[in-house]
Amino acid sequence: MSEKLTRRAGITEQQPLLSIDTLNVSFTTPRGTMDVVKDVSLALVPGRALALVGESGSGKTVTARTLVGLNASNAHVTADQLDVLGHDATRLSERQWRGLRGKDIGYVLQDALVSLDPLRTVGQEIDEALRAHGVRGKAERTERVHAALRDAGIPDPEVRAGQRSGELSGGLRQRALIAQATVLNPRLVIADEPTTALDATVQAQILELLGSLKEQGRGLIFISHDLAVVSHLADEIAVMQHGRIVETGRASEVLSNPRHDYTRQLIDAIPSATGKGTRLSAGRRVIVPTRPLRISAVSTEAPALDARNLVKTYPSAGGTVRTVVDNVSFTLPAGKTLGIVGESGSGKSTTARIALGLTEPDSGTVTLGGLPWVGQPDGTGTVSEQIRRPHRPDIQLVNQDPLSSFDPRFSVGRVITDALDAGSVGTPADRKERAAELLGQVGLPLDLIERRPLTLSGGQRQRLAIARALALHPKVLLLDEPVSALDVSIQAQVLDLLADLQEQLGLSYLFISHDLGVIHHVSDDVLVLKDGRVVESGTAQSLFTAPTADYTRNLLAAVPSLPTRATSTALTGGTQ
Amino acid sequence: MSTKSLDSLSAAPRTTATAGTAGRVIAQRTAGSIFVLWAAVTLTFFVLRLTPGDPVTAILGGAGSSPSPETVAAVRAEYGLDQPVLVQYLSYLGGLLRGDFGVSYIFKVPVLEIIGPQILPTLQLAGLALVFAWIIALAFTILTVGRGRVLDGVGRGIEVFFASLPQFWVGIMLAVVFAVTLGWFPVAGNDGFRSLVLPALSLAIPLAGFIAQVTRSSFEEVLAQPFILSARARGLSDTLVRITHALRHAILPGLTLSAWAVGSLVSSAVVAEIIFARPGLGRSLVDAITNRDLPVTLAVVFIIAAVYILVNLVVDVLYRVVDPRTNPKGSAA
Repeated sequence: MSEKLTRRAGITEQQPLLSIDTLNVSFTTPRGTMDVVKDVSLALVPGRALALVGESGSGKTVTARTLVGLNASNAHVTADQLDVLGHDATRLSERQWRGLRGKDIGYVLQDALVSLDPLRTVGQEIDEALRAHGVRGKAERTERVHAALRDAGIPDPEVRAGQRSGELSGGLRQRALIAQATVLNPRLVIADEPTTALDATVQAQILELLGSLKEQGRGLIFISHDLAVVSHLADEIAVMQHGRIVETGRASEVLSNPRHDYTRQLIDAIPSATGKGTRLSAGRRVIVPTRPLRISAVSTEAPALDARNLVKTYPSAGGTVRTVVDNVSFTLPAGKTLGIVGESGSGKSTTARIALGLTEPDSGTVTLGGLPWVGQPDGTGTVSEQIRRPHRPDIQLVNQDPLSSFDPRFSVGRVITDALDAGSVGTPADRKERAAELLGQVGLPLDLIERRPLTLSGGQRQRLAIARALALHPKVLLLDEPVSALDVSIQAQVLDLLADLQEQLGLSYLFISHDLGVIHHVSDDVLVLKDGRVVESGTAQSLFTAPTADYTRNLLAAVPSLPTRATSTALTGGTQ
Repeated sequence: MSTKSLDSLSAAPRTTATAGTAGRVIAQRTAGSIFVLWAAVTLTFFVLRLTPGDPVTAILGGAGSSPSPETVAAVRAEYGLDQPVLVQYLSYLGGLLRGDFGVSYIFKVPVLEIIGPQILPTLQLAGLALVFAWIIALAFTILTVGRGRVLDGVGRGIEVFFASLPQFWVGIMLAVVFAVTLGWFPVAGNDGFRSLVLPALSLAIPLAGFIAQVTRSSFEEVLAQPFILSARARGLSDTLVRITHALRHAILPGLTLSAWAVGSLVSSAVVAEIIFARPGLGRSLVDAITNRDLPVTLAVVFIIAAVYILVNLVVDVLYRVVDPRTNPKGSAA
């Protein structure tokens, strides 16, 4: 081992960047020792990309942080061999680690909005790496900051260097994050979920940028929960579950011929290629329809939602007017799913708020099950809240981030009974019974009823949000990015649950997402929004197989998909 | 970003809509300041007028003296006290507009001559106390937050202890230990910086406890942010990360607290001024209230209110310097 420390100077391109054998990481907590990474062995040579894939809690992030020595202070690391860039990483001092970080190892985190200091300009952030590693001259540093931004594909680096991450678009901001990690040309780049939460087209650009780092001869470690995302970039894939690598091998091999059950599950969970009606996870739930606590006055024959010529403008800085929703019309037939897809700023969330009757449009109408809901048919005046309120339970919202929509002091049971109280239906005993029923319907174990939402997992929280939305027997659910914050495998279970509920309770879904794979999977009809306008609409089948608008074609092209599955889409695209 | 929730998306246009121009902001703030000054003076004026007791008695040397009715009537007319209260109030406001704070009932000289020399010592005392408080609070934050459970607990404990200390007790203890026993600092008086240290510390230590509690919790939050990890992954040392990244975020809530603290320091300075026998506004205020010297009381209230307003303006500017995102010009996105 000590011999390896002295080998530093003699390292060549051919020597491995990483050589790890039987790595174990455990954390000492007040409740005992937690083994997070177990017997992990990895190797990486320059110019190659290794993807660590697995769901949250599988140990992939801890593994990555071990490679830069940035685990929490209660972490305990052991390994038969932990060779990082020719150093025995188990023996590196903090000072030696600092010499490697940023200079020889670049580390890219998930979301630049929180991974770059929001009070400092991106130029200052990049400059900091140069200063930390002893680049003295101010002029030289400025030059290198601009070069790093340019290399990361950012136009006008002189301007962008003076802006803070909050002032940049999602794509530019993520490029700046990569620039601050690569400004010193590190030999090894570690990227932890670098494209999660990005729109599909931006994600494709960032993946391409990471690919170019690999072409330049760097080693790349790439962490993701989504196999489709890593499929085009990774040379090798290591699938992690519960801290262990359950399957590893050449990327094409793992993707086309998965040997482990868990790998197969991860591949099946990707909704991009499978149409509506296909199961993404194992098991089917039978939902028992129950005695309704309230009878809806809303017709089940008329379209669940029918929006005509919605327009919404906001005044923006400088006295100009910004049109956020521009003449949007759509029909959601009863019992069907209408997918609304678009990138950030396309107006999909404002459209949703108008449909909910929470934001008044400048003009246009919405009917809910045939009843006037927003705006009078003659185009003048609005529907008063007194008329609307009795029908509010018929249209319910499920958010992307359910946790922030729960009162943290409420128990799981109270979150649901609170919704029932709002409708003031039934006796308190009825409501308790209904709460238990709802937990059963969304597949949550009854013993969670006393827990706080904070102690639930991401998937459980979303199930609770769905249960609450169902409490008053709604006709329409408005699902705003309901699975965007979930791992692919959890997303699969929630999408399946939504499909079961729709089939057995006859619900209509307005489903908003930036993820075309999800939209393709859940929708009967699809609306594509861009800059507040409908650029294309039609049945999911026609829109995904034969898009007419250029914008839709670009969106579709940017969707990461498994190579093998992509061919099967073309073949089975029509089975609905 | 695609992960925004409904609410945050719809809130965005609203904030840009309400962001005014710099000129409008200044106009609004000036109008607000004048209103606060007026309200403080008006409230004090009527509260003091409506309390029982005749100001003429105060003017003529207190309850012990027994002036003749003629003298009383003459004094009443001289000070305008024979007018209706509303008229007195309006003429006082008129005087204020001309910079005339009236004449002291006790000393029979213009109020400004009495309190003018007191303003500077009090501001020096309050200012130094604030500087000390920040130094102590920041030292605690940087040295103890996130440095293991023992140090964290010790830091937390000392902060609570400091925050719960009464200023007069701290003052007496400091005087006994550092002035009387050790003789490092003068016991009393107003004789340059050395005589300022102990009084300032007696006000600063309890305040430091408050500020440190606020900065500690925000410092803890910041240390858990991903950008801290990014900075460390660039090769920065732990200490540098704390100073260049975490601290800037952590002082923001403390800054807001400071705006309140300076105002309260000016009014609570009396404790230190009495213990260390220093001149200052606080003493003037206490003396004026005890002697029912209405013009002096009103003037001190006016000055304290003005200090509050000024400090709030300064903190607002500082806030924008530390956090450029609050400046509408700085966030052109």
